[in-house]
Formats: sequence, structure tokens, C-alpha cells
Amino acid sequence: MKFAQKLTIAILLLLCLALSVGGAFSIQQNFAHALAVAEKQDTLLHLRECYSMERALTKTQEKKNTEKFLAAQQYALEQQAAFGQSSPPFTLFSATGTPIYSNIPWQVTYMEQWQTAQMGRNSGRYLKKEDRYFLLLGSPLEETGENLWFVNAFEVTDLFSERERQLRQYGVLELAVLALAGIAAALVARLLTRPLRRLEQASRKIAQGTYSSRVQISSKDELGRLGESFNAMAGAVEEHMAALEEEGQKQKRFVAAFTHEIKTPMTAILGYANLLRSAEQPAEKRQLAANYIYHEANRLEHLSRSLLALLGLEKETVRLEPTALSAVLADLRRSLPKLDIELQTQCEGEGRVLADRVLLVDLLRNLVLNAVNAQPADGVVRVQCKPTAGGWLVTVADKGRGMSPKELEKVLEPFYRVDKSRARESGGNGLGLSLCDRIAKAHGSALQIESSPGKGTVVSVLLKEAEE
Amino acid sequence: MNPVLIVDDEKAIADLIEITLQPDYQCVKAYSGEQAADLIESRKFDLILLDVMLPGVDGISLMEYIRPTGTPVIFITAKTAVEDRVRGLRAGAYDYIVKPFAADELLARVDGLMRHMGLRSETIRLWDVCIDPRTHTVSKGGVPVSLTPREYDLLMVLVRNRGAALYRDVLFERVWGLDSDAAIRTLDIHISRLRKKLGWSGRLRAVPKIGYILEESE
Amino acid sequence: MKKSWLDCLKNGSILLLTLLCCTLFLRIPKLWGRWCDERLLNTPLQRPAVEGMLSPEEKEIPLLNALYKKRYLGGNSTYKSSGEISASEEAQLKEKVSEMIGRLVEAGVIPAELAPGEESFAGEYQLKSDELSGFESIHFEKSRIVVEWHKETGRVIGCQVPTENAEALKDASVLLENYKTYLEIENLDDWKQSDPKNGSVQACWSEKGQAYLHCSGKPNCFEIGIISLPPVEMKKLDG
Repeated sequence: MKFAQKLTIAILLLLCLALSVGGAFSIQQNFAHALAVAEKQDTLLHLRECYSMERALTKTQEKKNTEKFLAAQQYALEQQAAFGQSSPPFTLFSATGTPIYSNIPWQVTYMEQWQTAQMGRNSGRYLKKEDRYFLLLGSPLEETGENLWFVNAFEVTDLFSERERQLRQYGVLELAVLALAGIAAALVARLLTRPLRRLEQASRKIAQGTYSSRVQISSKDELGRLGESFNAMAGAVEEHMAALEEEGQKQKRFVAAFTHEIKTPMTAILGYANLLRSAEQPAEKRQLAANYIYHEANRLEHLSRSLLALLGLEKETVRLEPTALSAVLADLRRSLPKLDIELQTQCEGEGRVLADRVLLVDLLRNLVLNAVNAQPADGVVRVQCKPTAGGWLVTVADKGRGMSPKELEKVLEPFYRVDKSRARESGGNGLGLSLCDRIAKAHGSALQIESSPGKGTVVSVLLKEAEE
Repeated sequence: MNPVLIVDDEKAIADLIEITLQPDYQCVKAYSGEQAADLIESRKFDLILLDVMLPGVDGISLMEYIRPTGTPVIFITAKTAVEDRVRGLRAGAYDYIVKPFAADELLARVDGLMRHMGLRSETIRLWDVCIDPRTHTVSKGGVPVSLTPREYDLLMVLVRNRGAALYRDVLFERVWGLDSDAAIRTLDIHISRLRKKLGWSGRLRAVPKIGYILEESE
Repeated sequence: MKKSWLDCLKNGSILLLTLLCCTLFLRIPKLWGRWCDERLLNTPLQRPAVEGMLSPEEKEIPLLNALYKKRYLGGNSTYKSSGEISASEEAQLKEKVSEMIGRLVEAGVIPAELAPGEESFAGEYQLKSDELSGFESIHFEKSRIVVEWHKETGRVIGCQVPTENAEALKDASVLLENYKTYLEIENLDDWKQSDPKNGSVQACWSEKGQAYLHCSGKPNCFEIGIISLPPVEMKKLDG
């Protein structure tokens, strides 16, 4: 069931209960009060009647009941004459409980009247006869010689009917109030839960993939804040999803390129090996096959080594130690094969940086080889170390082919080669630069590449100064 | 009969394909899209074997160039994604072969295509023996020769590798498969049966320390 | 499908339950009424106490009793004017009145200076009789003397005598004491001095006797009297 409906029902139930209890209490209080007033009045009236009857009876001074009867009758008539309907009916009892005279309605039995009288002058009794209610008050008469009892029956039906009327009226009122309140509560509940519905809609849309859905709740209360944090969360989710997708795409590209890099040498190796084992081949063919098998296998070996290095760098934390830049440059020279170009190294001062010596040499070696492949116009590759505000800036510069902005974007991605055919000839598999980037990142830095087609390339990396 | 054009920037692969298709097909090799385009312009080819991942002009774009000539094309690629295959076929390739490929498979595909296109005769003639690959029937001098399926397979392998001395165990593997329970002696039996049925005692010979050889027909 | 059926059922039953509860609640006032009525009809009622009742021993005193009963029984008076009773009855009446006044003066209730003479009783008058309560009063138009008395005991319970002399009030307390003696109610010992708002009235009230004695010199009129007064009325007078 919807929350708004639950709310409405709860409110209605509470309201109904409250109104009913309140009404019951209030009406009953009114009634009790009315009864109390009637009791007080009737008590006084009864007292007066007692005294009057005493007077009427003392006049006769007769012991005979018949005389008393006549006197009582006379009295009753006088009262009727004087007060009409409002004169309260009474019964006169003898000491033994025999009724001498009575004009109380017959529904009230003598037994009931006598019992009431016997309860004493401080008691009374309510009786219900069919639809009529009576208050019976009974007292002993004084100054009449023998013990006579006088009982009045006051009709209080009016009070009860009034209460019934009030109850009916209240019932109708309550129904009307509940109906109106129900409508109002339903409307308000709908209004209040509107933000919740909006939130639900937006969440559902996001779950279905529309990460751009946001919710608009303008109130300044908790719901408004909920809306804000929901939007913030949705924004974060959207960003994450985009990042994840990007990552996924990168992975796909990596795997595709990697697969291709593996499959091609494998095809060659398998093909030539199969050739050799199937049939006897002439000598040149055998040599050709064997050569191809060897070279392709080498390619695979190189590839797997680079790949392992790349993966290895991801897993392990590199230990950076104070290293002399001059030593690094010396290692670099030693590690390079015979090159067609001139390698110029320069270091402004005695630089000591936080680095992994072997990795740093690898990085520079890779960069230098790339520079060589770019075939610099002036036949020079420059390696420079300069101190700057953030640390030591090491650059490898060449005046070679250079790269366009589009190529620059992709150049650090694994397996990306600007010129496939030429790179393959020189044994490149496209992992070089991404390895260098990884090494740079492990040193807390990154590769910065500036290049323009035809003019040349400068690759730089910032290394932290080693504290003494 | 026009040659087959092989377009692949990997020299090893191009050479491998050439070796596989010889001696039945004459091959011309191109190592780039531009090279291939020049060759297509200047000569007519019966079939083009095209590597999709070429530097510069890639294989798919080259199709635009090839299509007007009506030359059938088989794509060679390492990509196994279905979309790539569909893309290739849509571009007009006749077939698609995935690296790494078995030499036998390549040859069979090329054969099949050639025969289908009518660029090679439907049947293979060797001396007086005629083989129809479509129906798997063999006749000697016009008289049908009944061969078991194994015998036929063995015959085809021999025919395809004629002139080369085939190693015994590899030959067995190629015909009976890697997981066969049969003894290798059954190869010898099949060879002798073929010799008898086709009268090739002299042409189908055993080579000591190696295996068997079916001589080249002139 | 099944789930939505179950939900429907659940919703329906909740609504039904709500409706039931509401109808139940709506009946609460009536049910409560019924329950209270049960109690009402089946337990004896405690009659509300009537204030200002006379104690049984004081009821023995006829005057006090009559005064007390007068609270309830008064109001059925008959009036007779001077021409409506026979001459003999009139003469008897006037004599009686004169005698009562005489006794009052004797008793020191009315100061001697103020004692009305025979001439005061001449002229038109009005006689008021209340058979039920047992009191009579007479009002002389010319002298504006009013006397009210209890028939059975013959004691005067109220007397108004016009006068120019207000000096008489100086001994009001004495007058009241004498009045108490005259009325034969000295046994009442709990007289409380009352200071009504009207400064010219001297009064005292007894709870036992439920009686209020007062003596005042209203402008140009001397008055003394006793009435039965319940405590609640007493409080009103005192203010």
C-alpha cells in the first residue's frame, strides 16, 4: 500500500478514535452534570413536598388510613391545581409499607418505591421503565405521629432524550468531519510524499541506466536535503560509470592489441614448424623456415618480457633511494647499443634524486631509442638534467619526425605505435612508452611529451630531490 | 590463369602463405596497401588474400579499390569479434580466415573458392587419373575407381603435397587425426592399396627414413 | 500476477479493517452512555446534601422549626384587605396586634420611645396569611407599621416601625439580646456577630438554629426581625 494511503488511514483512525472518545466523554459529562442539577433540584423539591405533606396530614390528625388517603388525595389535587404538570407524583406509605395513596405512574411498582424509601433519606434511585426514566426519592415523614413514608418519582426522561439527541448530532458531525479530514489528509499526504515519488522515479531511471537523472525537491527540510544528497550520489555514480566504461574500453583495446601482437608471431611459428615436420624440404626453404621461427619467437619473448615488466610495475611498490644523476647517465651510455646518432648528456650540477636506479636507466634508455627511431634531422639526441622548483627535470629531446596532437593523445597507451611497419622492423611492440610512463608514475611523476610534426619531440620527467 | 595476390605487412606471414599455396598457385606479394593498389591496377589476379590490419590504408578501405575489378577476396585477420567478421563480409569479402590458421585449411579454402569461381578446373588430373573434389570420385582412364573415404583423404594429401617427401607420422596424423587409435601400419596398407588401385607403383614411392612421396606430374 | 492479487487482497483487508474500526469507534459514545446508565440504574444514589438543615433538637423548638419550614412552604399566602373581614374579627385582630407590640416593648425589644400608640392601628390595612407555613402579617397603610408573627407561638418574627429618631439604634445589641429572650431561643449559643455591608444593621446568625436576627434603623424606620437563613445566603449578605 502506498505510504500516502497508510498515512491517511492512520490519521483517520486516530482522528476517529479521538473524536469518539472526546465526544463520549464530553457528552457524558454534560449528561452527568444535568443529572446532578436535576438531583439537587429534585432533592429540594422532595423536601418541600415532604414538609407540605406533613402539614396536610397534621391538619387531619386522624389515625385512619382512609382519612389519610383523603387528605393525601386532597393534597394531590391542590398541587395539580397549583402547579399542573410540574407537580411531582408521590406515594404515601404506611409504616408497614402499605401504599395509602399514590399517583406515581403504574410502571413503577410499589415494591420498587418501598425499597427506595427504605434506603433512607440520604439515598435515591434511578429506574428505567420502558422508555421512561425516573428518579425516586423517599423519606420518612415527621410530625405525623406514626411512621409514614413519602416517595416522590421525578421523571428525568428529558435528560436522557437530550443525551440521545446530542449523541446523534455528534455522530453526524463526526462522520462529516472524518469525511472532510479524510480528503484533506489524503491530499496533504500525497503532497508530502510527492518528493518520495520523485526520488523513486529517479532511482529507477538510474537503475535502468539513465545515470543523468536527477531529482528536484525544492523544500528546505529533510526531504530537500535528501534530494540534494541523492543528486550528489547520482552524480558520483554517473562519474564512476563513465570512468568504469572508459576503463573497460581501455581494457578491450589492450586485449585486442595484445591478442593481435601474439597471434601474428604464433601463426608464423606454427606455420613454418608445421612445414618442416610435414615434408622434407629443400635446404633454402629449411633455412628460411628456421629463421622465421627464430625471429618470431624472439619477438614473442621481447613482448612477454615488456608485458611482465608492465604488470610487475603495477603490483610491486618501487623503492626510491637517493641516486646520483651522473651515475644514471653513465649507466645509460653503457646500456645503449651502437647508434647512428650522437648522444649528448648534460647535468647542471651534482643532482641527487629519489629513484630506482635500474628502472630510471630503463626509462631513459627507452626514450633515447625512441628518439633515435625518430631519425633526428641533425643526428643528435640530447639528454639534460635541470634543477627546478619541484625537483630535477630530466629531458630527452630530438629533432626528429615528431607527432601530431592526435597521435600525442594515444601515444602512452599500450601497443600504440605511430608507424607500425617501421617500429616492427626495429623490434618495437608499442609497449615502450607505456612502460616509461609506468616507471615515471612509480617515481611519483609522469611523462610530459611535447612534440610537433617535422620539428621534433621533447620528453621530460620530474624527479624528486633527495634530501641529505 | 592469373596469380594470387598476397597482401600482408608481415613478411613471415606472406612467405608462409606463398609456400602453402605453391606449387598449385602462383603468388605475388605486397607489403602495404599502397603497394597492393599499384599491383591491382597493373595486373589481373584470380584471388586476393588480404590482411585487414595494414598500416596506412587498411584492408577494408582497400576493398573499395578491389571491388570494381570483381576479384574475390579472402580476409586474413587476428580479430575474432563477430562484428569484425560481419563487417568484412559486408565489405565484399568472400570469406574470412582467422590467425593462426592451419596451412591445410587455407589451401582448402583457396581451392574451394577457385573451383567455385570456375578459375580452376573442377577436376584434378594426374597422368591418367582424374579426381573430382566435388563428388569425391576418382577415375582412372575414364573408369571409376572405388576408394574408401580414408583412401580418398590420403590421396588428396598426397596430391596436394606432390613432389615433397612427406614424413610418415605427420602424414598419418593429417589423415587419421591426432586422436586415432589405429596403428600407424594402416597407413602403409592404405598406401599399397592406392598404388594398386591407381597403378601408381612407380609414382607413389616410399622414401627411406622419411615416409612417402608422390611424384610431380609433368 | 499472483503477487498483485495478494497485494490487492491485503489492501482490501486493511481498508475493511479500517472501516470496521471506524464504525466501532463511532459507537463509543453510545456504548459509554449505556455502560454509565447501567451503573446509574443499579447503584443507589447518594442524595446531594441539602445545606442549612435544622438539627433535630432545634426542630423541637416550634418557632425555629416553623421558620425553617417557612423556607420551603412559603408562598401560598392569601390576602385580605381592611374591608374584607368582619368588624369583630378586625377588632380581635387589632387587639392582638396591640398586645403583641406591648409585649415587645415590655421585653425591651422595641425601645419605649418608638412604641406605636393605638392610633397607629387605625385605618386601612392589609392582612397576609400563610396557612401552610403558619405565619401572618399585617400592614397598616397610614402608620406604615408592619408586624409579622407566628400563629402557633404568637411570637412576632418581624416588626417595622417608622420613626424619625434614629438614636434608638445605639442599643441595638441590647435589643437583640432582649429579642432572643422574648423569642425563647436563648439556648442557642452559637450566635455569630454579622457585619453586613449596610452599616446601619446590627445582626447575628446562629448555625444551629439557622436563624438570622437583625435590627436596623433604615432611614426613618426601625426594624427588628428573625428569619431562617441557610449558610449560603448568609455568605451573600456578608459579602
